[in-house]
Amino acid sequence: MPNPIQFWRQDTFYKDIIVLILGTILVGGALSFGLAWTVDRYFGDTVTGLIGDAGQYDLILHIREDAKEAALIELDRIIQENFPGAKYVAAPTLAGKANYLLSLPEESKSRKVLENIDSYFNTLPGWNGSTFIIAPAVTVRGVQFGAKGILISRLEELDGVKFAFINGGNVLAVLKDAAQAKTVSHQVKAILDEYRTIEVRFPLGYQVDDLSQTGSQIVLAIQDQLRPKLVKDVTLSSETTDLNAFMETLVEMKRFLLGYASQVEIALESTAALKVGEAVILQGASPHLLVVGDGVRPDNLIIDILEIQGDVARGIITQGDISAVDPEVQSLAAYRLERGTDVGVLVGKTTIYNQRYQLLLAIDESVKLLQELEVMAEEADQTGQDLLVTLDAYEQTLDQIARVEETLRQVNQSLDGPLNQLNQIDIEDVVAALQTTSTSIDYLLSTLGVVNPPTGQMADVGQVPGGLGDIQDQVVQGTQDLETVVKNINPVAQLLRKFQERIQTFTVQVNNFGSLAENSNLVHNLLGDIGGATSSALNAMEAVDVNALRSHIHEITERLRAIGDLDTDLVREEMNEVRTTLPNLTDEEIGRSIRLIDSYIGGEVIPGERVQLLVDASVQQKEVIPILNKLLGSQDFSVLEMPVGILEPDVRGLVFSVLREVRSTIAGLVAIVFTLIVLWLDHALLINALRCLVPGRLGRLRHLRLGERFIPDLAGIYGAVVGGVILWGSYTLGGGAIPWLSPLHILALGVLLGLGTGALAQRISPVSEAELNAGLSLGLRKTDILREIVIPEGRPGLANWLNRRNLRFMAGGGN
Amino acid sequence: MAEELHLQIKGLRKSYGDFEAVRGVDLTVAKGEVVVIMGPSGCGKSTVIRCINRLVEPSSGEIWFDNQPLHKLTPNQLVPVRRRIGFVFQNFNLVQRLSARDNVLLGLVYAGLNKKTARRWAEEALEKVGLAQDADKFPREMSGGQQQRVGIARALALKPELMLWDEPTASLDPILVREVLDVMENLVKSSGTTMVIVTHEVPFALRVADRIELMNAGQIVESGTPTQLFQAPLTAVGQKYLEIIKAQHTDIAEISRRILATPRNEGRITA
Repeated sequence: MPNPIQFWRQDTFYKDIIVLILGTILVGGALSFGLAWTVDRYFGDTVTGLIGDAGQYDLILHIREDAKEAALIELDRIIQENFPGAKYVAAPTLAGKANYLLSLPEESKSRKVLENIDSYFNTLPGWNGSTFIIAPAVTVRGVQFGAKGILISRLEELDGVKFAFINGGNVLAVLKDAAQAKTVSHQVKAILDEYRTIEVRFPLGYQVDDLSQTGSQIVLAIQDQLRPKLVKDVTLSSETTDLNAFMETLVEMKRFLLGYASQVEIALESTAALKVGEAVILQGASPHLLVVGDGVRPDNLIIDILEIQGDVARGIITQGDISAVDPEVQSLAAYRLERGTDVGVLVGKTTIYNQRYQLLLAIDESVKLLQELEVMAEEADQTGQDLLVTLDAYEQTLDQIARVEETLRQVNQSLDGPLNQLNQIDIEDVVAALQTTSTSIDYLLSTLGVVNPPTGQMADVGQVPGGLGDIQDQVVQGTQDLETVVKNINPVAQLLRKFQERIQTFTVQVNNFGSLAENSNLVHNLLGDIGGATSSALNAMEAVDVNALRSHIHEITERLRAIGDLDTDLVREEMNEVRTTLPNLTDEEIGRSIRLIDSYIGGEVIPGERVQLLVDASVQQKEVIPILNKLLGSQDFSVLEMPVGILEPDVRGLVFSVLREVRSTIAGLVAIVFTLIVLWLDHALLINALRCLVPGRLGRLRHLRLGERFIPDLAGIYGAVVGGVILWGSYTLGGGAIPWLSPLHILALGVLLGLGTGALAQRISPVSEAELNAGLSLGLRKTDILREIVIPEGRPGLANWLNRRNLRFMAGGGN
Repeated sequence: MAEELHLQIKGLRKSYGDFEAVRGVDLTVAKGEVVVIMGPSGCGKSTVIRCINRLVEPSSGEIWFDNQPLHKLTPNQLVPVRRRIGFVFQNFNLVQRLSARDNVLLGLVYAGLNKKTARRWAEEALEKVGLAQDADKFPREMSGGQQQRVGIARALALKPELMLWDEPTASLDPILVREVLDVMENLVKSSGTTMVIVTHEVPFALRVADRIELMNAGQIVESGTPTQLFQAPLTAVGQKYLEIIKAQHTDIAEISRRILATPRNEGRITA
């Protein structure tokens, strides 16, 4: 076992190398650290100059640079009114924004004031928001909305916290003393670790009937099965981010445009192997028939295929507009679009449905209907009123006929006795009653003649979709109902007309009698006939349920009156407005818009509805998923687990943390550059000397049969080891830390630099083999040769400097 | 001729990958003997001489120096042995940052001599090569011949028992060759040091060599005294050298007579 003390006393080149490497690492580490420290110090001082010392200022006010003069006047006023004693200084202007550091008076530092700080300053001209730099404080970033309340109350329970307040998505805990920052940070972290947010996301288009109810069900299910200390639904629909809202708007816009675009269907030929994403071409407005191989003309129609089902392809027009196409004139044959410019083979026959023209037509028809609707409703109401009058006359007539029947019954009783009991007066009474009845019938029939149901008045108006169609149906139904009433009365009216004729015949015959005695048989017959006719008329009239009809008519008229009360002028006006505000887009413009929207939303994940739960740390995402699967009966959702917030240093701490990272990165880079320089200045020479003095490759490696070309020789291995050791040592000692590079990476980089130096050593720092051989021939040890011949001939570096103490022959100075 | 073996090489081989530069060289050098190795370029002469002090590691074979197995020594064990073996390089191999004096002193100081002795020895060595006045000059300020003479002084300063010369005039222009060869010849004649010299300088070799080894394709193909070797060469290489000797008649007339007067096959060895 070698004795280290003895080794250290020996005069060997190994010792020189170790001294050189150690010295190099020390110098490299010091250089890296020193340079990085200088840069850090410079930027640190700059930052302190920019945002003041810790606790000096509480807030940075951002104001548009062009408005700063006016803003300062207003700022003075606000301070005087709300924060007397507050001070502010100008900070550097960045990206067109003037910044002012504001120090609030101690009494103004409260949750209420700080949470509403923007409300004090948003009247500043050019106001662009504010940033808290209050210190000492602990900031919790990205706090879920539903967790803010519980977090603030927990933070304010901590000894070191003066108060906590919400600032956007952050919660800031203002500390009593800066010395407690570390302790409080640990405590805050522990609190954050107690909670987490579980978010259940449903994809866009997935309909959740009642999000609140769904949230409650989920909470109950989790409570029931996992029994956590805390599970609370903190879903807030208003929390949708602007981006989500924008994406949803785009999706809605696409849906609207798709509904508005002309729908193209192509019945595909059996030989057409069309695919989604390809395009077809139609003659369009061009007067020229399409010919295979021809180029596309600007007035041809181009259709992008969106969907293929069986032998039907569907797509949207991306060039041209269907309004210019007349199927009577132009061919609707579809050809494949080849290479985006040429007419390919025939793929099928096209049918085009133009949704927007249908919509315009529907609006026009609706406006027409509205014009008719009011008149119709009024007419129908009048018909109802007329029918009610008719029913009154009907009842009068019925009473009258009943009285006639009674009179006839009495007369007939008289006829059953001696004929002389039938006197002339009785007959006259009968005739008079019959005449009155006839008059009533006349009146009834005359009222029936007035009734004129408004059927067929809407014949010019086509079927209108939607609510207006319902109204249209109601009016038509009402008029039909009235018609039915009239139809019910009409057969009775016919019967009454015949009855009236019989009355006239009876009256004429009675007037022609000389005396009753002489014509007793005839009188009997006449009275019998008229009695029968009266009974028939009475029966027929009684068969009609007048009260039911009256009630029905009342109902119909009420309904129609309600329709008549509609403000049709307003509706018509609005529909005309809709007509004029409909997008005036051609099919081509619609198609391009849809493609543009698709290209934008193509890579975006658009969240749909979501339920957000605040839970304690015992609730695991993987436990929640099966519960939700069972509860929702679906797997069409995703569950995300998120911390309720992330503890971060304050703005100043963040800046200084960035500076620390910069310092570490600079230190690391300096160490790399330094290592490279040292390898080139010092070790390339030594590598060359080793190659001359200890030629040959390492035997053991050669036995591996890896191919000598890729095996470094002993000197190359020396370079690799030295490179790795120096870089790793300087890097570590200098406090280097380059993002994404672990110490192992650095070691590997050093090894690579060493290997590279080894490969290029002869070019970097050539060694005179002749001088080396001279040394050998003179009986110099290798150590002496390296010290006296090789190193002094090399480039000026640390090796050369350290070697000066070993030199017996100074250049030009002699022994 | 001294019979005590100073240097012995047995079955020396050196390969560079698939190429075998030296293919089983056997060589013995007696103490005080001057052996010149000649042969065409690329025949392995320099490799052999560099293998002796293990500037080039032999692939196999044995090298004995003063009864020490150099081929078995560790690098640390080689250090003192190398101080006893001087080496003169073809390209001088001076340390450019050091003056002529410091170049000479380098080996002396690291051999552990005290400063005073080292400086004296260095001065003497420089004196021997005629550069005492230029001791403070740096290599870049000297001609090739002067630089090589510094190289010789550096090798000589340690008072080596064996001097190895690796084509010391090959990098010099003909004018400068003369001054270096004169120095070398004087040294050979005056020092009595065992020497192995690799050179293409035939007249020089003929003048100073006790024995000449002719190499071709990594092997020694003929060996013997200059007279033996060039009287009737047996190999193509020997024939070539004889032609050269005949072509350079002016300077070597007397040597030729000496060669021709020597009885045939005396002490002759052939590969």
